[in-house]
Amino acid sequence: MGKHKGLKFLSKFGVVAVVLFVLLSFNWDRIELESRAFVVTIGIDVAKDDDKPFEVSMNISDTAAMEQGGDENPVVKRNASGESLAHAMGQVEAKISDKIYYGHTKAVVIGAEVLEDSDLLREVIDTLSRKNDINIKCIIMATDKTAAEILAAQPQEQGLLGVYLASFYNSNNANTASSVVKLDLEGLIVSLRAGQSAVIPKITLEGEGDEEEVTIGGVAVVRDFARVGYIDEEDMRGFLWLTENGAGTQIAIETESGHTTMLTSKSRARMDFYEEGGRLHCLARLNVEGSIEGALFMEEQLFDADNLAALEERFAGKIQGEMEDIFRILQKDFAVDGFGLKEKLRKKQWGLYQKYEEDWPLAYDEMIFVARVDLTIRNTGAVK
Amino acid sequence: MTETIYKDDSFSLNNKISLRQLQALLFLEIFGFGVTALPRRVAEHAGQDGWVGVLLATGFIIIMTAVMTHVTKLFPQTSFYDIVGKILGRPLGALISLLFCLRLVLLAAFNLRIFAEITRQTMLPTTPFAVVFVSMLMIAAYGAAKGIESRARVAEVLILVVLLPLIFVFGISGRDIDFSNLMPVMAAPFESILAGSFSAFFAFSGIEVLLLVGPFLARPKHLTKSSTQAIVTIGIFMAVITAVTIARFGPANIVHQMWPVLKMMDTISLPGSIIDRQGALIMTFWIISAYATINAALFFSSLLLKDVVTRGKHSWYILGLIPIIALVAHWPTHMADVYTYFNLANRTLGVATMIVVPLVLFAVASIRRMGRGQA
Repeated sequence: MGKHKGLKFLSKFGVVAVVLFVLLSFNWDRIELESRAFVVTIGIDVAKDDDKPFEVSMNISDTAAMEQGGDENPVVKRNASGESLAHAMGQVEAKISDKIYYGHTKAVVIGAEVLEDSDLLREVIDTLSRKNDINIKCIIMATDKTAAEILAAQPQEQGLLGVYLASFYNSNNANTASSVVKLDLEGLIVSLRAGQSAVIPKITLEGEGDEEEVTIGGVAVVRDFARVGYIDEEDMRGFLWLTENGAGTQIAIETESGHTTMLTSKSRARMDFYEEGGRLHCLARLNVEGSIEGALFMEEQLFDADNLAALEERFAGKIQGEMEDIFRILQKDFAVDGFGLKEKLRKKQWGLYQKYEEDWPLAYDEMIFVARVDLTIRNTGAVK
Repeated sequence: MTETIYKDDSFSLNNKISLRQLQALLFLEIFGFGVTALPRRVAEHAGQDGWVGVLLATGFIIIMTAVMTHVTKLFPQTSFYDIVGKILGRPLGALISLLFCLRLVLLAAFNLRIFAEITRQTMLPTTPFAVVFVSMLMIAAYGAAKGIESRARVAEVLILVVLLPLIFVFGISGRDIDFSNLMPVMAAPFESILAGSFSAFFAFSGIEVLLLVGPFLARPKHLTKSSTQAIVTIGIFMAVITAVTIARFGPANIVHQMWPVLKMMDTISLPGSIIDRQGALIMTFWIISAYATINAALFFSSLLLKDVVTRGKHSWYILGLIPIIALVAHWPTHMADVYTYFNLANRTLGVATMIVVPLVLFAVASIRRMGRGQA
């Protein structure tokens, strides 16, 4: 045997083996694009069958139809029930010829009945979080109807509901149209882990027959892993101010000379805590900037320096009222820490947190909320 | 005798590496394997203060680096087996060499299994473990058989391939991080931070190679300084990654993530990108890191076996170790088992090879005033 014969053998064998195994490995997981079923939206409902509690609906992108073009609806809709959520999802896969892929799933809609059952909701969250395919940034929506109904309806602008939702939330003016809260899978998990409660944006159907369309607005409030109620879209604007998502929101006030509308360009909230009179206080300070979008024609004196200050005060007063309203609704009507105040207290006031941690529900219930708004109108549009 | 054996086995020009190359090797061998689950492991103990535990562990590792490099420098151009033999006698030399060999084999096996699990979950869900095992082992074995000089050159190239995606991912994800998740600072009890640092200490597994690398160093004079620089860099990277990952997921949430650093990839969306999942970026880092750790383990364990047996070429031992590592990697039934055995190996063999043996060698050599040709 030559001096380096052993190593030479190893080198050659190594190269051959590596090439062989790498090439072979492609066979196990080889999948053609057209053989993949890209699930865009998942709907989860309670099934009628007691043995199979979950019913799953899926909107799957029809890649074949897309390739052919034309007017054909590029969505394939499938549903199945199962003994568990994972089982039901598997059953959907059994109904189609292609390989299901959740990597591009944009949204999950949770049906009204699932939200009412804490065990079912916990199973939903656990199953979704364990599926490595499903991105933790996928949008979570609640509905007051069945998820199947929502998935069956088609948004007017976009055939794929999940893509419509993703695009709706990504557009800069989502808040202008409605006071819409955004929640992804990660946010839901964090919220439920922190306080077993969450505020899930609501999607529903409006209109009838051909006029029926999906609308987004309001939220479902979850406490102890089950829905305890809904909050209307109008009340949710206060939530946006306090969660720093207020930029882009339109706000209108009634003045002596008609309506004046402001579009916010900046909204920064800061929450601090202090103790006074033996009770925990939450001080919310909001800094808002915006521009006037419309008022009454030939009432330009409204924007004189003196009047502008008064206008700012009135806008600030309205925002402050909205903040106080939503805080009261969550605190008193639902007993839900929707702003994650316990976690904020832990981060900001460790001493107070240690004091109130043990009996947090009582501390939260008795908490005094103080809102302060500093509002500046930066410009009044193209008219002097 | 040792020197001749090492020269005979070399495919390279002189079978020596520079200290800069050693730094690159250390970075690749230690950094990747440890960091993937590190934020979770430290957060389990110290919550938001987990990153402090990583810094504490780095401090302790720096001390152990000084101890190991001191022992290595006492006996220049001498194999580990000979160093231990001179300090503690031949029988103990053989025993401790086999202990180190076992440690490296287990390190490679668990690393391989975790690599295969991650590959299965992220890229190749139906490819059998055996294919992933054999592919990685053959590549690592090929690199190990080529000798330390080629390993070092490859490391100098790969270090950039590892660092760039990592910096990119953490840079992009930085836009969406809530650093208030790291508050309140130092609120965790000191015992918890200490427990976290003990856990983080084993993220530096592989540092033991500083005791084994002596015969391959061209100029070992500044070994301590160079190694410390590498360890400080690794420690800072680990602490930053831990802090950013904890800040991203929050201390309560991160403890439920199996591999939080890999999950970071899910949280970013590239501006203007039509591709949703950019997992390939972080997988580049992970594949290379797994290769580097397994490659180092194969290389050094084969040398240790050859020194103890005093026969054959180290490549033969590499061939022999491949099925052993594959079998050990395949042994645990599931990931919970992998981490149970891995933790057990760390608390026994890890403590022995990273703390006890270096300190004993250092103490005995110092007491007996050995080294630098006096022995």
